[in-house]
Amino acid sequence: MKKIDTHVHMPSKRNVWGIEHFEAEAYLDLMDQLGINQSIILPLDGLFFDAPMCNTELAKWCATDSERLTPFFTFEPRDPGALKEINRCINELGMRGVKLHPWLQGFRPTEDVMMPLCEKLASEGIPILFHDGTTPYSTPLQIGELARIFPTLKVVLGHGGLYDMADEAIATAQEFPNIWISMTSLPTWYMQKLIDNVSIDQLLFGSDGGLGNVDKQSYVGLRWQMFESLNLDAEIQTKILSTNPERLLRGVSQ
Amino acid sequence: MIIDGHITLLPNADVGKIIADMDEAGIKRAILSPADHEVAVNNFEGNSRVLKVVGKNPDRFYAYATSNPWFGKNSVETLKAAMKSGAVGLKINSSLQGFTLLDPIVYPLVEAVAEAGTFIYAHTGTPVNALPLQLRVLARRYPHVNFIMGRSGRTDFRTDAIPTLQMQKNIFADTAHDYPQTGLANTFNSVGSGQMIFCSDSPYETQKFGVECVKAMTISKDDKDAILRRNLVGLLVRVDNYEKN
Repeated sequence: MKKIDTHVHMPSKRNVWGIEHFEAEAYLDLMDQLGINQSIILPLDGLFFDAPMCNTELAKWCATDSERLTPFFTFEPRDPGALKEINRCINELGMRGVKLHPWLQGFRPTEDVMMPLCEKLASEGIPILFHDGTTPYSTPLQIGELARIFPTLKVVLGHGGLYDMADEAIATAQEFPNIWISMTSLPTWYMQKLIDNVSIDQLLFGSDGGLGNVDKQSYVGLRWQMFESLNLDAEIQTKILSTNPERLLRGVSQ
Repeated sequence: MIIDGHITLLPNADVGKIIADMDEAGIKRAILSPADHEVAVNNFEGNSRVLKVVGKNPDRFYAYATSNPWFGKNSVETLKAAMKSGAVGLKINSSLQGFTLLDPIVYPLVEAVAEAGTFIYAHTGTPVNALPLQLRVLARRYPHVNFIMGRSGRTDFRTDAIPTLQMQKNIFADTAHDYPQTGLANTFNSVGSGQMIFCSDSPYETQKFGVECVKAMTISKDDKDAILRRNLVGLLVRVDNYEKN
């Protein structure tokens, strides 16, 4: 079974949260040790600094092994050049999805400026993975509103509501079939609750890897241990770790 | 010996399974808390249910009492009755119970805890009314009462946990859901082992996982003992019910 981690951050090059940058080879070594075939790589610096510049850096980082490191990009929704940046990331850099963090980036998921951008992303089959689980701007139902407006847009709740909003994440996924949930940073109890209450076809798994220096990545292995401790049927595991993430990324031009 | 500072006893919990999980994780004793609906409204029923389980397994469990301050004078009576029956601490969850940790409505409960020499497990991390820095203000008002900062502000108020601990020495970090090289290491490097108490937060995470994370920290054996046992014993020895159990 192919194992795909849908939530890994490129380690900061600008000391965000005290993280010291490390090269992709080091993360690929970790993936080898843990038997992870592929990781979706999300921006961290791009959420705080010049997004286009950081997107270029992230694409280059992932180019170390483009089969195993799948790049997602970000943009500033209020930037008049956002649509141009989307086109550049998809067509020139071959990036496969978007990461947005409304709480950090300071916008509401359904602001008017998001409409033409989401229309474009939906038409390209490009998924958006949102940070979710915190107020303001990042509650699951706020993000669900975007999924309602764009029923063909693939919208991922990047944390399944975290702790306090797991029930809201469940309600959102139950209502909107184009909502996906990456079970990232969730204790086992909440992961099991999602599995029991949401269509398995909407579930993904993530480690939140890359948030820390290279010698502090042991939590990635612990996250996988937590997933394995759920003792899920092989068929369910395959869907969450392989079939679903491949479907999420399918149909995207590269 | 390891003591688990916080387990929620769900209504359908299999006590035999909890004990088996404790044995697997090497946990000698754990403090049981009433479940959410009991913390919010059915305080007396919750306290009675937990105390009953503790009474049947006095060598494995202690009890948290809970009480919602909105019940006014009755809330203090509920707490005192539970303590008289053996509860070793108070569990509050201001998010579930509908008050802010800054609200004077909770003072009578804290004063009852102070009088009894027990301590308080206060859930944190849920905005808008259960936040680490709010707990700091409450703990500053009652410097002789000890508090465990439940979930240490997780998830997005985790960053407030460190200044809270640094400014208020009568607050202890809850280790639940933190990893050895990141969250736990950060807390240890900021305030040392003396303000950390092992809590598994079972059943939301397994006890085995929580113990393994503390054991995997690159700290001395003595520091691990402080986190896994000694600090909590330091709170419990002040409680009359501790000796009885």
